[in-house]
Amino acid sequence: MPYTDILNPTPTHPLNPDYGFQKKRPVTHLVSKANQGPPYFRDIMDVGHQFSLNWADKLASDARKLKWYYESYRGGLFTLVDYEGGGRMYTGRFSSPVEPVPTSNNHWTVQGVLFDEIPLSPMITYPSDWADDAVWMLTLNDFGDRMVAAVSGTWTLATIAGALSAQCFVNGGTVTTDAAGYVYQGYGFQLWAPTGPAYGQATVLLDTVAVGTVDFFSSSAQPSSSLLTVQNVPLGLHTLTLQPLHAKDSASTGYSVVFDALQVMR
Amino acid sequence: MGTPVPLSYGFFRATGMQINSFEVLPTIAVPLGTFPAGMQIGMWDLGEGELDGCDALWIDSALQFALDSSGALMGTSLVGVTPSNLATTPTLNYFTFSTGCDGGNAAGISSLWTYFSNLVTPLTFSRRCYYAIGWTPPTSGGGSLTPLVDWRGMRCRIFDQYGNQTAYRFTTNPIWHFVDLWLRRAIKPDYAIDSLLGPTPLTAAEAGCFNWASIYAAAQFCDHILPNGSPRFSGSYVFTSGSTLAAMIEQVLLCCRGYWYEYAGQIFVFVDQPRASTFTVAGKMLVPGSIEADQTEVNQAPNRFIATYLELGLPAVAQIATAVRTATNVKLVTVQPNPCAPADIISVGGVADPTLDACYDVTTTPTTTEVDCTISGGVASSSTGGWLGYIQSRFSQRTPEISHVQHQMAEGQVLPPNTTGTRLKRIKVSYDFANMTYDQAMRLLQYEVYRSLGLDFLNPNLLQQVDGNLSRLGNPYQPPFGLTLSLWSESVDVNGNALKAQFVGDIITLDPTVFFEFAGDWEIIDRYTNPIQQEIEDSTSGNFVSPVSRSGALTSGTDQNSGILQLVLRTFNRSVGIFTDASVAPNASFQTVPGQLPYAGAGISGLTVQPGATLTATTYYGGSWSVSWTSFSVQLGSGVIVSYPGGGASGSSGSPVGVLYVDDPTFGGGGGVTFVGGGMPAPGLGIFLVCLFTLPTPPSSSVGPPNTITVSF
Amino acid sequence: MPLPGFTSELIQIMSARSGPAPICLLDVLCLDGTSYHWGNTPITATPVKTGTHPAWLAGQAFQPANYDTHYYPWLLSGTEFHHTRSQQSYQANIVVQDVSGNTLQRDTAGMIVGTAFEGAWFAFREWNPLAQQTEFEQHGRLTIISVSEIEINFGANGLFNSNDYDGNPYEVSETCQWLYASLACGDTTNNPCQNTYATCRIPNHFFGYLNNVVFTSAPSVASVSTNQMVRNRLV
Repeated sequence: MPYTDILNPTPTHPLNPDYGFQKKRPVTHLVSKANQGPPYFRDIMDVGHQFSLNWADKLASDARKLKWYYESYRGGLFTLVDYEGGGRMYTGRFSSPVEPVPTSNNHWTVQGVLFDEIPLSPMITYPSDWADDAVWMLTLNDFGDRMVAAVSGTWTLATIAGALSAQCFVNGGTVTTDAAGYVYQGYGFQLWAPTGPAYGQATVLLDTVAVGTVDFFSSSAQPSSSLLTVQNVPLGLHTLTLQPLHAKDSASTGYSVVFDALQVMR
Repeated sequence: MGTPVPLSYGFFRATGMQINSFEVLPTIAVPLGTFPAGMQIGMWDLGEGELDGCDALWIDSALQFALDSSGALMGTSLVGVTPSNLATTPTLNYFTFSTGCDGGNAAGISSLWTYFSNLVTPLTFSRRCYYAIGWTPPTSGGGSLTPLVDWRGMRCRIFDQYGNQTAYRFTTNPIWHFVDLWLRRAIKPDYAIDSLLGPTPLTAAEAGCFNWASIYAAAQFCDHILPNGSPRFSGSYVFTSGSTLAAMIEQVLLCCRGYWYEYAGQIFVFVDQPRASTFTVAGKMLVPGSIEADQTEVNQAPNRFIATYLELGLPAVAQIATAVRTATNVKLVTVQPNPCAPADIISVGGVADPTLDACYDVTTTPTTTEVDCTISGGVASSSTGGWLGYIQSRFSQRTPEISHVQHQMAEGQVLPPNTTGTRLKRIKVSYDFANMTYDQAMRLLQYEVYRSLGLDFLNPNLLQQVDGNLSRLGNPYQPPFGLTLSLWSESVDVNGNALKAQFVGDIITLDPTVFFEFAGDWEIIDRYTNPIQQEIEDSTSGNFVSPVSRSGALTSGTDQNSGILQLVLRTFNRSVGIFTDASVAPNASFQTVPGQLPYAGAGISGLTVQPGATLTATTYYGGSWSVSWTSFSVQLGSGVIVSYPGGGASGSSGSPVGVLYVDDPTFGGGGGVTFVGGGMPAPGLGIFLVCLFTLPTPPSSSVGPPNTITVSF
Repeated sequence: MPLPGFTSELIQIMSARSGPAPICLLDVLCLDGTSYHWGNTPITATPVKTGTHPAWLAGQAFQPANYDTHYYPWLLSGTEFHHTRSQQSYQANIVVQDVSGNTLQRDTAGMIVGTAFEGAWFAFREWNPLAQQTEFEQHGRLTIISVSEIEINFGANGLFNSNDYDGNPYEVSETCQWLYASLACGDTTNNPCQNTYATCRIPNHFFGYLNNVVFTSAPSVASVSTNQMVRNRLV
């Protein structure tokens, strides 16, 4: 049973859930508060979105179809479209039974059916509303802690004009085995960084697979912008790695590479 | 049959288990072989080998031979000596022992076995240390073959801080005993012991079971020589009954303030000693409401500590007033009457002139306080002081004790403190330190007392040792506290130290923001690690729940300790009163003769070679020979390869056994390779055997080629 | 002495107020050499040890690029890792899912039955995915506590439990105490003995005592000693 099966392919489709369904994002992290100071926060799980759906006064055939979706995809997944949320798609399944209740002749109501998004599932269309659905992840968090790891090689914090982060993670770019890593919970990402005349090129890997090459060169210093977008990534815990290529634009005067910020789709 | 085979380390005195007994009846007129009629033969087993050797032998309470602390013979040996009066004096015809290597190595043992004809099956008692005695009683009757021997126990592998085996020898270092126990029982229980090359070397995986940095540091700490001339700690023990490895390790580590743990597949061992704090706990790490202090370990704890041990030194039987030496005589005058008698062998030590510290045969005792000993070639000297004793009184049982009076008073307070009279509640506990010196036992006992109960401010001797004065005499009793607390496991302190790196035995500091009254240094006794586990929402609250929980059980559930490190701490007191190196001066009841500890043997090093090289030996008509070898390598325990060059040697005569060995104390390679035609090199650090072989028989005719062999090693 | 392996980079990452939680990883090496790599989230990481791939893998639709570095998300929890300065032994607890498979046969239970898990060597780690380094590591041996339709409960015993070993395992006996063909035995002829002297292949390595005379052949009159001898049996 493929994920390409869409429960509600159009906004007027009879299986489209009633307007105003409850949307939830279960807790996926641990928060621990010591006697003093800010709490500690750790991402643990990659649980997806949850919706509580209702269908009121549907035909028996529609109620049966809903029941069929529950039965068919108990161990599988299908796609639900959230038209209220701008048409964003979610891949998952009904995790609670579909129990139609008759309300009048040939009219049935189904209430409180939970739809759970399944992590690491393929999607027909991956979320792309970077303005509303993505969050920023900078080199330093709000407490000044560095969130990027020097997996290998020498990386230093540096203040760069026009960067989004108060300090960026910079590498000389000449050792191709150097690597910086960032771990996030979410879908796809956009890699943001300032560019300039002394920068080089790097390869970006997601979960050890190369997903693109980034050129940090520009003829004049430019503020941070999106240099690479990788959208089609299923929900999960992902490791992004930046590795210098020891390569540069012919006009560049250096090989340095920069980690500034990520915009992560949530 | 059915008794456990003993395991012995360090110095001990034992007869062993008799395994053979034969006697030739005195009706035989003609002696058989080289042994007289009436000779009794006995063999005794001492357990697992290899043991290093013996320092002294008595038979029927008569000393047959003994070595002094330098290894020199005390008096003369009676082995093979025919007494002047066979009617009244027994004869020690024969003595040999096998260290307990594969196949045994008792010198000349085959002649004893062949004495019994081919109906008796000779055994090598492989891997058992045993000794054999041929002894003839006085012809007029009486006497019995009842031996008692002072032994140097197990040979152990010695390592450096990288896990390279640097020696294989007798040792009293408890840390090397600890390593040997783990190898022998768990990590490498199956190995061979070659009589010359020693035990099978460790593989890299076996060596990888130990954290050598901690082991080496602990061993060096134990071996450190204190101002009194003895190592800081030594261990000598015999395990005879069926006990667990845990009980043996506990005994070994008791003798050196040791503790151990395993982490990430490695064994670490440490000696408790003053050490710095390696982490500072602040309030921003503490789980709210998780800290609690108590003194339950002190309440009802023992407070009368008794050390039980066998003294390795010689108990002093008399104090020397004067000692005078001429060319032919040493005269000792004791302070009090002494028990010496003519023909005694005495040990003298602690004289102001140390050249007078020696062993002597007593010739005459003119008065109850005078002892004359005949010598030869003596240099005139007149001195004072010192003690004398007897070798047979070594291993005397001793039971000194320390009482913690303040704790006894605290526990015994059944009436208000201002009531007249002292009420002490004494609860005793005994510590078995096996065999060691008084000083070592008392320093260990002092550690046990004051680490458990805190300092005793009613003990003036202790305060003099700790403070150099008595200003704190009578101060209130301050017992140690226990503390339990939970911390965020990924905490990092202000100095950049990680909490997760702190392990049992480490010292951490609680700063005042944690618990103001208990700020200070604490030792980690227990650590509970709780990984950050999956967490779900409460399914009973009416909220949505995670899909993984909807199946009913496919979830680890919420672990309320998720991400928390729970520590059990104990007050850490660095006082020199606890970790003292100062020799405890024995009172008269425990005085020993200074400098008369048992002989510790010559030390034999063995290190095997990585195979791959060859040696070619050629003998010529007439017996001359030449030998050449290719370059070869030794792989050390850490994986480091040390290389040595090829070379050659030649000679015209000598033993048919050839020995190729290396003398390289630093294991740096590149040189020190020597070949000798026969004869073993003197043992020493860095000397290890490479190849042992037999030269080919020389050709019997000058016509034809010489005989050549090629040996791979 | 603080534990080794904590680099300044790892400590820097651990000190952050936010970030990903360390991932629990479990490597198992069974007595038959089969290896398993489980985590509480699917992740690629360097294993502590590798072994033979299980036969189960061949029948799976999902084939990881490298089985040795792919951690299946089957690990549910690891708890009660207790270390002490005394010689107390302890047993931690590891729970692994037993749901995956098909309606008839579960993956993990099938592995339990088909492979030597009892006594299997394991390495449990808390692995920091950002620094890609280990924060905590424990090795040991597994014992199966319970197998249900949903999860499997392993007891995780320490690797070096001194209470488990006999301190004096050898006895004075007429039976040789060595395992045949061990290094101490020394025989390489692949002709097992019965641990008796009469069947011993390397008699000079025999690790026992004889209580009576062993006749290797019928003695002739000439072999019998004419000396009077008293022999005492003492063992």
